[in-house]
Amino acid sequence: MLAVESLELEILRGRPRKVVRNVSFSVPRGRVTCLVGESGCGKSLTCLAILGLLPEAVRRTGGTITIDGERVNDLSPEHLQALRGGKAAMILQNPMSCFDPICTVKSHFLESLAAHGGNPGRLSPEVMPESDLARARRSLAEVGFDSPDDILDAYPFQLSGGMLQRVMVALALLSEIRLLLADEPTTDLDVVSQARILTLLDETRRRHGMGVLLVTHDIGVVARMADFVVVMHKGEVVEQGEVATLFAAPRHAYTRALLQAHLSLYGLSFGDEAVGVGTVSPEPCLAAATPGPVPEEVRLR
Amino acid sequence: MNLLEARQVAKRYRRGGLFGKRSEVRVLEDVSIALEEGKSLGLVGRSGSGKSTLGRLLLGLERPDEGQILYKGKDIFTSGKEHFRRFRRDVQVVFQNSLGAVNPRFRAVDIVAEPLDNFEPLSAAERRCRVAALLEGVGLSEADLDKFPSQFSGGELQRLCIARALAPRPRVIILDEAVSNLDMLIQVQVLNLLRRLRDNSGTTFLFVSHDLRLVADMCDSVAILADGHIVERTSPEKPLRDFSHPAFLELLDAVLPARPDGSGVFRNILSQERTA
Repeated sequence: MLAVESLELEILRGRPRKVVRNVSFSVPRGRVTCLVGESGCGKSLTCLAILGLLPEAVRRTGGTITIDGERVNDLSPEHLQALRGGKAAMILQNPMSCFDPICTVKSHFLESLAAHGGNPGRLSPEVMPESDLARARRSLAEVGFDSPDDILDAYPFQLSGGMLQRVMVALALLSEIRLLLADEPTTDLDVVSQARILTLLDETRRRHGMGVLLVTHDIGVVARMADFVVVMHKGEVVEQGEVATLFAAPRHAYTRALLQAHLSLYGLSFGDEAVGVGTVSPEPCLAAATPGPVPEEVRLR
Repeated sequence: MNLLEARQVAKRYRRGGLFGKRSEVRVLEDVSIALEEGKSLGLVGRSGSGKSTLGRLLLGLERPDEGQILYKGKDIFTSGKEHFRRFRRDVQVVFQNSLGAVNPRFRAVDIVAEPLDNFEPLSAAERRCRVAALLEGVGLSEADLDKFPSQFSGGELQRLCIARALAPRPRVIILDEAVSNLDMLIQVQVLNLLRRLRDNSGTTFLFVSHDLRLVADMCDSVAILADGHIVERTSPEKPLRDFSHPAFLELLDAVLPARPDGSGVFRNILSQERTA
C-alpha cells in the first residue's frame, strides 16, 4: 500500500543537517504498521513527508515514496491535494489544536468535503447540501456517535478530547481511503479514551481493509495494535519486523531498552515471570544521578 | 502522621458567562484524602473526574468552597502567614505540561532557583552551585545551566521541573500526570529517580494519574476518583487488587497489554503480583 524507500530529510535552518537518513519500510494493505521511537527521532517528519506536508524548513533530499503504486514524489501540488483525503488521510495528536475553535464541527466537515471534491465554493454551513450532510452523518455514525446532528452543531470546545479524536477519524473516513496515517493519536487522551480510539481504529481498518501507519512512542500501543513494527532511533531505522518477533527477540540494543522499559511498567522482564514491580535495573544515564540525601537538619525540622 | 490532608472539601466552578446560560459545575463533593508522612498516595481517575482540581486545592492554589486543607494538622488558610509560607515551601508540584510551567525567557538556572530566591536568598555563586547539584540529581548537567527552555527536549524539561520542585527541599511533592506523556525510556528514568528520592529522603508523594500501572508500582495506597467523589480507596482490608467499583474496572481494562500475544494483561498481573 505504502512504500518508503531510502528517505532522506534535511533541516535547512542554520547549517543544513540530515534528520532522517536512509529510511525504508512498507505498510501493507489491511495491516497496522507501527513506527516507534522517542520524540525527535524523525518519526513525525517521516509521516508528514509521506503526504507532502513537510514544513518549509525541512526538505526531502532523497528517496521515493509510493502510495498504491503511485509515486508521490513526482506529484504536483494539485495531485498531492487530491491524494490527501482521497486515497490517504492523517489524524494528529492533539485534537484540541486541530480544530478551529470558532467553527462548528459541521463547518469542518464542509471544509474537508469542499477540499476533496464535494461542493467547492459553498462554504456556508446553512446551505450544506443534503448529500454532503448525509456523508458527514454516516461518517460520524461510523465512529460511534449515536446522534450525529448534535455533534455537527457543536463547537470543538464543547467536546472532550476523546470525542474530538473520534470526529477527526470521522473526517478522515469521508472518502474511501486506502491508507490512514495516525501520528500519536492517543497520546493526549486518558487511558479509557485511548482504549476506545484504538478499538475504533482497529475496527475501521478491518472494515475498510486499509493500511494503517501508526506513529507512537508507547510500546503498549504497539502490543495492542501492531502487525509490523519499524523502530527509529536518531533519524534511522534500527530494526523492523513482525511484532511477535520483535517482542520475542529484539536485535538492536535500543529496541531492547525500549521493551525493557515498557515491561518494567508491568513488573515484567524478558522472561515470563513477574519480577516484582519496581526492581528494574536503573538506566545507565541515571545511575550516577542519585539525588543526594536530604541533610539531617532539614529532614528533622 | 498526616502531613497534608483534604477534609470534606467541595469545589464548584461557574460555567457560562456574559452571553450563555450560567450554571454551576460541581467538580468535587465531600472529598477527604490524607497524605501520610513518607508514604505515596495515588489519585486515579479519568479526565474530568476532578483529580487535578483536588491537586490544586491541596497545593493551596485555590480555596475549597467547603471543607479544609490541613498541613501538619492546621488549616492552611486560617493558621497565619508563617504557617502558609512553611506550607508553600514544603509542598511542591510538577505539572504535566512542562513547557507551560516554565518561563520561556528564563535560563535553566533561574527557573530552578526561583523557589530558592523566594525562600532562602543565596549569593550568585552559591545559587549556581546549588542549581548545578540539583540538575545533576535529575540527570542533567552543569552545561545545561544557561540554556533556555526551548533548548531542552520534553523529557529534559520535565526533569528540570522536577529539579525545581526539589530545590526548596520539600516534604511533599504532588505530581500531576508528570510522567505519563514522556517517552518510554525517560518515563522509566524519571520513575527510578522518584523512587530513589522516596527511599533516600522520605519524601511524601501524591501521584495524580489515569495510569493504574504507574500507581500500582509507585504507591502505598490508592484512591479512585470519579465524578468528583472518592469511590474506592485502599485500606488494610482492601488492597488494590480487590477493588470492584465500575470506575476502577473501566480504568483497569483500558490498560494496554504488555505483550502482543495477549499475555501480560494488567488485570492478571495485578492479582498475581499481590497474592505472590
